[in-house]
Amino acid sequence: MKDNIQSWKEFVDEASEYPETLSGVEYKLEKRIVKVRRKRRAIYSSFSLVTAAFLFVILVNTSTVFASGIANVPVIGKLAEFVRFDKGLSSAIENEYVQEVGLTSKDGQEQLLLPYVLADEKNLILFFQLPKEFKQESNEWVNINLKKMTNKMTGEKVEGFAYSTASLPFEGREENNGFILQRYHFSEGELPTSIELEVVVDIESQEIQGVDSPVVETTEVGTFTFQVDFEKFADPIIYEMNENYTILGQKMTLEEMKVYPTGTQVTFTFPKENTAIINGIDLQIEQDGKNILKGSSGISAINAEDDSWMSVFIESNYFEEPKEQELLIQSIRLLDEEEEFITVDLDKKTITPAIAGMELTEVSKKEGKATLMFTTEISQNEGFAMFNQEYQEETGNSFDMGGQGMSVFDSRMETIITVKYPANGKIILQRVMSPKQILEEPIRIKLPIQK
Amino acid sequence: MVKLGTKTIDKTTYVSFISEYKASMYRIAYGYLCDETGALDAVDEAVYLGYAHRKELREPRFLKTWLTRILINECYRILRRCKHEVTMEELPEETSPSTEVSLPTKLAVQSLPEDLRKVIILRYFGGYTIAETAEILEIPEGTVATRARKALGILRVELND
Repeated sequence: MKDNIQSWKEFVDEASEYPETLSGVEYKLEKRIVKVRRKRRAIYSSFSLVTAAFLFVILVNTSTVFASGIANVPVIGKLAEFVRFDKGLSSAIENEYVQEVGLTSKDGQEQLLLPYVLADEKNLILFFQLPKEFKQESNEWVNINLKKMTNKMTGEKVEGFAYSTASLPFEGREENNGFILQRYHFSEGELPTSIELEVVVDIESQEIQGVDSPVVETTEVGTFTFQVDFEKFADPIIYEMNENYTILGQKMTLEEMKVYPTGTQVTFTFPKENTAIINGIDLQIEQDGKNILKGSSGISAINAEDDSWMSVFIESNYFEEPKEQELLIQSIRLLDEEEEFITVDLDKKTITPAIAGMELTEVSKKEGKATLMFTTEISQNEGFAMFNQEYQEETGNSFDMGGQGMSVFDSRMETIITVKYPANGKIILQRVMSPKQILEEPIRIKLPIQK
Repeated sequence: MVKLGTKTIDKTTYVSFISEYKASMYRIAYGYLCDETGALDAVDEAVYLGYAHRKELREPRFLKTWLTRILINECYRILRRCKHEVTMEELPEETSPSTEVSLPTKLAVQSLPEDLRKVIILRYFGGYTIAETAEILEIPEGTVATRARKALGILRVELND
């Protein structure tokens, strides 16, 4: 008996001999959160500005420095003209919610202007402007990317947001008055009241050489820093809904709707028993039988990494007089849980499991790389990024596919990706978006009138 | 001690809580898995799962209880994966001299019926009181005491509790 007691005590004591690596638990959690956050999918709709053909959505993080000062502030009319396609933003400008910051930042001889911002606790819209003297050739696009956002009060790097940024082509420069819009949404936490922004401007030039794809060259123009102190944020109008719906066999709860000056956020949660991941919800707001607000430009939805909730963004009616309105669910995107990951056999040109309406139509090999073309049946001729950027080989090694091209015609979408040719000819892709399924009858949800 | 309010747990609060609680989590995981690497994996996974699902926890004051349940599930998942199942009949007769604890005690703990094992690991490795153990396992306090006695009896260990 004594031996047993001794042995038992030793066993218990052994559990208290903590390994050194136990001290790294918090660090490992931090690293994993960042990794998952980067993977989190931000789903975006097309940008409403006709000439800004490309819109990128970036899920934060990077690093550092420069100076800013007061500069020329263009007349507000030009800004209103710039956002005329977005009813919510136009309304915010008309109602003078836009904040005139009039900032200029320099890097050597180059300048970037930040004349206006629109902000609330969850959203930030930056209206950058290229100065007249900014040189741009006819085959060039100007991009602005965030390098770092810092909370000026605490000195801490701001994280937990997604942002969309447009590219400005030469031919759109005059029409857009040189404006380039960036939209930020803070899915985790809130926008600090005072920030330092560091952005990088680059020029992308495209040369078409024969029948090959265009050769793209990127040249960095400079790094620009802005100190922005926001005016008091307006409180959102909150509609607590808590209503349950079943759409195409999948359950969802409309939790709440928050109307901010910069946009409206509608949050849905999905129970675990659903057999499909809901990765898109098309919303509109109707008043007197007329569609008055639709999906917001830029970031249109963010969903949790475990697909348990989704926030969808539509234009804002913050400044509208309260009237009887209905929220309409027009269509949803469903991704069967069994069909989220597909194995693609490049030699046999097969997809496992087979996905209805989706085919691997072309595989070409060149210099250790393979270019794959998938053809997918879609509705409404809308294109979308179908796969996670990160793919795996069967060995478990992960790679980044760099990008995915798409073209849409005749209710079909062609998606082109390039991957490193795997040793056994197989890769595993994660599907993150699926085609819209339009509901025969939209689901209508009456919105309470807020006085 | 980290104060847990009534609202959703933010990241800073969660990380502070983990810093305070991770040693206890490791002991529990070690009690289940008898292996340093496995115990660390279980703790890491439970810490992450707790963070990812923290919004599902309606009452932040139950974070410790909730996280312990996640940890126990994770330990069972690892055990299932390793198929590390040994019955009492298979226990070795003799032990080889070692600086480590003799194998039979560890195997005997692993071989206890689940309901008994949970109780003694939470009580003696996690350092939980009878009341806390009862709350985590959602059983009456009397049952905790009975199961602890029974488990120690099987292990042939008599402790002054």
